[in-house]
Amino acid sequence: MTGIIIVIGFVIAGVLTGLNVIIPYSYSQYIAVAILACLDSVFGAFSANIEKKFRMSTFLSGFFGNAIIAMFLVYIGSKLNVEIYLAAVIVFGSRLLNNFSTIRREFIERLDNKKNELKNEKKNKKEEKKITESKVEEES
Amino acid sequence: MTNKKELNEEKEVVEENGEKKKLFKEKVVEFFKKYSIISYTVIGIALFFLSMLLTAQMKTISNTEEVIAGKREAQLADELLTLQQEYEALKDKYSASEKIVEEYKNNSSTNDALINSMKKEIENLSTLAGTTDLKGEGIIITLTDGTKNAAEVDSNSLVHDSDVLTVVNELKAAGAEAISVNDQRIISTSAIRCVGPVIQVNYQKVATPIVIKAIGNAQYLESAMNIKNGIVDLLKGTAGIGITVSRENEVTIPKYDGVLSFRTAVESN
Repeated sequence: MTGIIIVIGFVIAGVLTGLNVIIPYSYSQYIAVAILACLDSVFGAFSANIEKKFRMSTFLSGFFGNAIIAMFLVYIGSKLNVEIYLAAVIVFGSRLLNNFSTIRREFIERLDNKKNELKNEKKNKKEEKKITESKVEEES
Repeated sequence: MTNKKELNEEKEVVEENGEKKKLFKEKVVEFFKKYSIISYTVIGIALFFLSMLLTAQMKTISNTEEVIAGKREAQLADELLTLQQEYEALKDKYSASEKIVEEYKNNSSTNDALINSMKKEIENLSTLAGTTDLKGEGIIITLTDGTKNAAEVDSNSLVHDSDVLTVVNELKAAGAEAISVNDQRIISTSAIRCVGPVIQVNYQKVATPIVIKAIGNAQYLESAMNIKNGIVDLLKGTAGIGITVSRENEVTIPKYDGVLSFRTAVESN
C-alpha cells in the first residue's frame, strides 16, 4: 500500500510540475517520442512484474535509455531529412501493445483459475452433501 | 573525583544515545526494507518524469493552434510578416530620400543652361525608366475570370499570367508608351508570372479583376486589341475570359514602386 501511495504521490507531483513547464513547440516532437519510449518501458515493467521477471536495473536503463535514443533518432532524422523517428514510434507502439496483451492474458488466466477453483469447491461440497445424505439414509 | 564521575556519566549518556540512534537507524532501515520504499521511490521518480512530460506536452499541443498547419508554414508566415514590415519601412525611407533629391533639383540654380539641359535629360530618362507618373490618352483593358457555372469552371476560364503577358506584349507592339497592370508599372525589368493562385507583377501580388492601362495612340491601341482573331477574340472565344477594352482621353499611370538598381551590369565601352 505504502509503495502505491508513494508512486501516486510522485505522479501527482509530476502532473503539477508539468502544468507549469513550458516546452517550446519545436521540441514537441522530441518529447512525444520520449513519452512513447517511457510508456513502453512502464508497460514492459508491468508485464515483467506479472511474470515475476522484474528487475529494477533493466527498468531504469530502459526508461531513460530508450527515451534518449528515441530523441537522438528524431534529431538525426531532422538533420538527414528522413523521418527516422517513425521507426521508434512503430517499434515502441508495437511493443506497448505486446506488453499490454501479455498483461491481459495473464489476468485472464488468473481469473479462469479462480473460477475453476470455485467450481471445484462447489463440486466437492455437493459430493460431501451427497455422501452425508446417503450416510443419513443408510443410518435411518 | 566528582569531575571524573560526571565524565563517566556523560559517557554513559552518550553511549545510550548512540545505542538509541543505532536503534532508530535500524528501525528506519527495517521499515524501508519491509515496504521496499527505495525501489518504489525510484519507480516513482521515473513516473514523475513521465507524467511531467505528458502533461507539459499536452499543454503545449493544445496551446499551439498551428499544429495541423505545421511548423514550417508558421515560420514562413512569420518571415513574411517581418519582411512586409521591412518593405514598408524601406519604402517610406525611399520616398523621403526621393523628396530630398527633388528639393535639390529645384533649388539648384535654374539659370545655368547646362544644369537645365541635364534636368531635361534626367526627366526624359526617368520617364523612359518609368519612375514618374504619366498621363495621356490611351485605353483601359479589364480582364475578369470567366463567369461560367461553378461546376464548369476549368482552368482555361481563369485569367493566367500568360494572358496578361500576351495583352501587355500586344500593347507594346501597338506602340503603347507606358503600361501598368493593377497600378504596377511595367518597366524594362518587370516580370509577369504565376505564383500559385495569384499573378505576380514586379514581385507584387495582383488579383482579378486585372486592369491594364496603356498610354499611347488610343485608336491604334484599341484597334490592335479588337482586330479580328486578335487578343480579345482569342481570350473571349476559346477561354471565356471576360475582357473589356475602353478608350479614354486621359489615363494616369503611376510610377514604378521599387528601387531601380543594376548590381551586376556595368557600362561597356
